[in-house]
Amino acid sequence: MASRDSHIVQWKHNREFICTISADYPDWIVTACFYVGVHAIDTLLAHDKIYPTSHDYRNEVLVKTNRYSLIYRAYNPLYTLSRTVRYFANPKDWIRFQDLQPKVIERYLYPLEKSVQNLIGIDLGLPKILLSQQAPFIQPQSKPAHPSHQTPVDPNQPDMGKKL
Amino acid sequence: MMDGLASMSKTDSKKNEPISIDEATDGSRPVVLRPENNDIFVRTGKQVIAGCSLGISLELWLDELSSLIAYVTQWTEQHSKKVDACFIEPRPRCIMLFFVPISKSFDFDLADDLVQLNAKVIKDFNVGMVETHQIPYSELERFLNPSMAKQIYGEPRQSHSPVEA
Repeated sequence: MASRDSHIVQWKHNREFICTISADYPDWIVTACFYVGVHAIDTLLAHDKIYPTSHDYRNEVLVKTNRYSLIYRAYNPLYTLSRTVRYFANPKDWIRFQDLQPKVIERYLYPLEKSVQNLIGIDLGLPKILLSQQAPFIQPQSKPAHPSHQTPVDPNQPDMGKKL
Repeated sequence: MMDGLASMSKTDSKKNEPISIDEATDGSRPVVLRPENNDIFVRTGKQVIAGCSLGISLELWLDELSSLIAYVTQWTEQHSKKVDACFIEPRPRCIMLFFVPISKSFDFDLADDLVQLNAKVIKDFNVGMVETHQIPYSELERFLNPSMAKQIYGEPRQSHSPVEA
């Protein structure tokens, strides 16, 4: 069974991944958000000496335990959205990229992360998640990349490696 | 002859004698069941007892399921501004409730309502775990098993528009 700290590592790791996913893949951004939530919750559950081995068991613990009621409220929409949208033929019709920041990350993921940290009594100092607005730059293999082709540095983008 | 009579008498008395399976002493003991079609079922005493328990709770479970369906149908009628249709499908691990929103995309307000509904039905109805999901009509066939699912709200319609000639 994974320890609380190893779930925190994976929680931060998945957070970093969200920022790298292109706006063309809102279904996978949702899925990554869901797995951030899973590791945040498993951090809390490991803290409480509960070790879920399946989504079903995690869901049951969350819905039947008053201590986790706020978390369940934020987690369930992430669960159901991620469980369905990745199978859709046209996921962009179902979930729009512009809705992800306000309606997925700020509405569900941040409150979930905040509740987990409150219940554990720690502050991880997690930076804001800033979604990538464009496809990640892929360097051509045959020629060295021209400096102007490189992804510009966003001064508002948190330095994930240092802060996490 | 005497032996035969004695044997018949013994068999008759055996017919009225209950077969007792005590979980504590017979839990791991093989029980051989011989139905008239010549099948042979071998079960442990514990499995026989568990099967009986399931039979009793199955009846109760069906009552609870009917109550749940009535509740969800009423809930959906009260949320008719957001929900176009609702389907229920009992699966081995849980009861699945699929809601088709009126919105063409995922309805976040409906999602918040469904969280509350989900928690309530799990706590109020003794049917085990329940999951609620939003899906568009166009994806119904991907998620629903037509032989198991039942529409409990909304006008029946095909998930795919027929191809026009």
